[in-house]
Amino acid sequence: MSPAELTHVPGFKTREVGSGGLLHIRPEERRKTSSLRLTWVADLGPHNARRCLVPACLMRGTREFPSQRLLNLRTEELWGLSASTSVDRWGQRHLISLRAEFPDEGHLPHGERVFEDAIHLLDQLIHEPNLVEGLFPEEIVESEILQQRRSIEGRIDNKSGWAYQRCLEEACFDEPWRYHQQGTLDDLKHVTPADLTALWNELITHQPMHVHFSGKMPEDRVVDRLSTLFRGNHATGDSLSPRQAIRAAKEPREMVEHAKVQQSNLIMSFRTMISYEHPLNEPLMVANGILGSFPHSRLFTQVREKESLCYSIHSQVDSNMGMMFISSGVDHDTVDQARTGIEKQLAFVRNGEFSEEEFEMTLAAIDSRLRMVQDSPAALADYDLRSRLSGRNPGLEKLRKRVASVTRDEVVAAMELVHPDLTYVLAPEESS
Amino acid sequence: MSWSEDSTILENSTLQERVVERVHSSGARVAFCYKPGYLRTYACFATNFGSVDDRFRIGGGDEIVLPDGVAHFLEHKMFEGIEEDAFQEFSRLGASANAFTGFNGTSYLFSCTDHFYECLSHLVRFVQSPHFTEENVEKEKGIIGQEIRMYEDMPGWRVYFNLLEGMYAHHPVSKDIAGTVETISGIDAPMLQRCWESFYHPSNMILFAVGDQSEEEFFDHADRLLQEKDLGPAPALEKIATLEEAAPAQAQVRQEMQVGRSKLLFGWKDIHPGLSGQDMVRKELVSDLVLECVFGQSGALFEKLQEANLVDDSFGGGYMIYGDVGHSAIGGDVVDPEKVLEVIRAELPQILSSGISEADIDRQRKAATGQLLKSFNSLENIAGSYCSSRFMGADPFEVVDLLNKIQPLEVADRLHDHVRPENLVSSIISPAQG
Repeated sequence: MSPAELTHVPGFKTREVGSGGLLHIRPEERRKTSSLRLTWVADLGPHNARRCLVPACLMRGTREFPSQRLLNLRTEELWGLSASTSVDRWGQRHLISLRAEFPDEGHLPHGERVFEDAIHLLDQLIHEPNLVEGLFPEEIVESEILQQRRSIEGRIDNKSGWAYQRCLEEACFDEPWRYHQQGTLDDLKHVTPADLTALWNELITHQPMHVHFSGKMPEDRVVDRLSTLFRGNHATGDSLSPRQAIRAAKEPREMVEHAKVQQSNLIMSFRTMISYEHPLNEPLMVANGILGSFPHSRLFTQVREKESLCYSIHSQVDSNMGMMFISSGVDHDTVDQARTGIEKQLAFVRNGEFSEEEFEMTLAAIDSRLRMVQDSPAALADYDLRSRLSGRNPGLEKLRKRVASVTRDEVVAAMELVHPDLTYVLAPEESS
Repeated sequence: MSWSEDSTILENSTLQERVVERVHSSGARVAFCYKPGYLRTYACFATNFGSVDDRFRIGGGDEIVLPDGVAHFLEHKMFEGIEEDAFQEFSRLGASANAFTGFNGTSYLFSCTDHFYECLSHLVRFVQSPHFTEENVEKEKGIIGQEIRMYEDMPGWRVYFNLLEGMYAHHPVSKDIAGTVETISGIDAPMLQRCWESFYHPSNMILFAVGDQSEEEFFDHADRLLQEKDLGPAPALEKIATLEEAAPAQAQVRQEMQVGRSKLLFGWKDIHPGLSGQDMVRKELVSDLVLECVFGQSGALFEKLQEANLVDDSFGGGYMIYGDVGHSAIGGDVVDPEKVLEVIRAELPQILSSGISEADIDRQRKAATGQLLKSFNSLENIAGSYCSSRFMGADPFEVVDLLNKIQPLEVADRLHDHVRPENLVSSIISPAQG
């Protein structure tokens, strides 16, 4: 198959700002709002939890609006400007982001303006937080430590997410991506306002910084205004650790843990030895598509629909880690049956038994998914950032072409590199 | 051409959106929203049959009472075809398809970047071609059973349905949309067929598309498609309402689960038989504004709770209307739910006596306008808001003008009418002991 011609949707134009900053701007005529994402990139590690406290403290007030309530009153005044922070991970990196979305001025009544005020507020959030004698206020720090502790404790509420993280921690016990982005309770002990203020300073001055903007404003005005967000940032090549090599599977292992749950969460992990640069990366994407990431995939049509063993089942590949995961929620009595069914489907794809139609449907589905990214500025920004961090070209067109040229033999070759690592089950307590 | 009425144009200058709508001779309402530049086109075929529609009669016949979970079960089974399931063809066309069942409706949808008309044809054809057999219905019970178990392990889902169970003594809105493993065990093929014949007639349905397509071509194609199958005259469908008292069924519902943090939701219910159209939209809008002013994160109450470390950013809520009932649900992740409720109960008299200022109303109006603009970026939201507005007999765009017409007196009345301390219902999920 050949990819359909791309309707022209402008991509990001990237420019360096200062020594460590990259400003990515694209015009967006289709939407009614402008969207901005600012991300600092750091290494995942044992201090993720305290790093999470920095954006949380920033959102508690600026010098001009020194409380969260005053800040919220201001964002409402700015036509419901949404400003939020998030903490994610990608491979071995910790991503600390501030996202904002606000109406385009053409939709506001009486010639109202919002762009300048919105950027001013975001600038203040980053550079002029509410400090008392040069430090984050003690009561704010204590409050955010408490909230962060509760968030970490609350991770068990999402059972499938919990099971995935436990599997990852055990399978990759000495690799950097084992660290959860929210960190650990231990790391929150003895954090002081001085520690956090220093951490904030380090983040805005030393960590590589990206700003993605999509909107209707003239480019020179956006560049002019957004460049100021990078002031003081002079990240260098040493700010991040070198890329971690991926590793091969050793002996397959099994692990069962128990919780008060109705349903077992089965997570099977595999080593692929395929990184983003590997020539079989796109064939592996296709193999994963045939196996378990679409409604026409084997896991869905066979294990769910034919065998009625589960409601949720899917596979995913992460080429930063060189791993594949298959996740499913199943009745505990049928976990073994589900595993057998999954293994059968893995062998089916590895043996190249999939039909021409399954293969073509997967190529079309991946291509369609990649094109759909272009309708969402947030998804485009995310794709752009993650591509850069994985060392691949952020151009969607190139990836679409590579996927379109994948052959059946390459899919089989990629699957031959997939070897089981840890199989993890989070099971109901009654079954222990 | 088989359009029984001239087209209606719905538009709004703030949103700068326009929807063209026509009623087909089959009875279906067909509508289109042009979004230039979007690569994706989104379409849905939705029926006004949701989980609350559990009692009905046809042509003055006997009342039919459905077990909980039928609308959702039917949604699952609609994808079953004689040769293959409906997903396969969407996959061949490179489209992604899905469906969801809510309290008031069921929607079948797809989004695609190519082959839009083939996808549209497939959507209409599969929703109009049921294939229920005893064997495939039985098989589905295993899959839905696992879906129900998954919801049982989701504390956010449980805390909401427990709140509804506390609020409503009889109304089906308090029942889990998927039903329970027990209620779905009684579902069979004839029951699904009967529901399909009653609720999936085009007169009870909306076909909607949004994207960068030609309006004329869309209506021509929809016309041909809806003529393919003659489903006869519309059944004389009469939905039967379940009466609900004004007082809550229980003041509090508690459940223990394996959670790291407790979860709290509280709120109040409204009973408003006969409310529809613009009045319904207005009630929802004013209620949301009241709740945002009183319980929102820019309010004094949130600040007080946050300073005492009782709540975090997960705290918030809103108002939802489902036909003849509506309710608020406010809360989040908390450590000490009883303490939060204690503060709220202590503060409410003061809040009620001081009321809501005009400055607060104006600011919320601006914020709500910004949120509306944002929501109209999303093809899914445009489709969802069009279908739900139409099912309640309202215009999806009038919300913007209504927002500007809200009067302080109306806000004050709504505050006192809805927020009644003596009728507060709460739902708590707390960490399991041991």
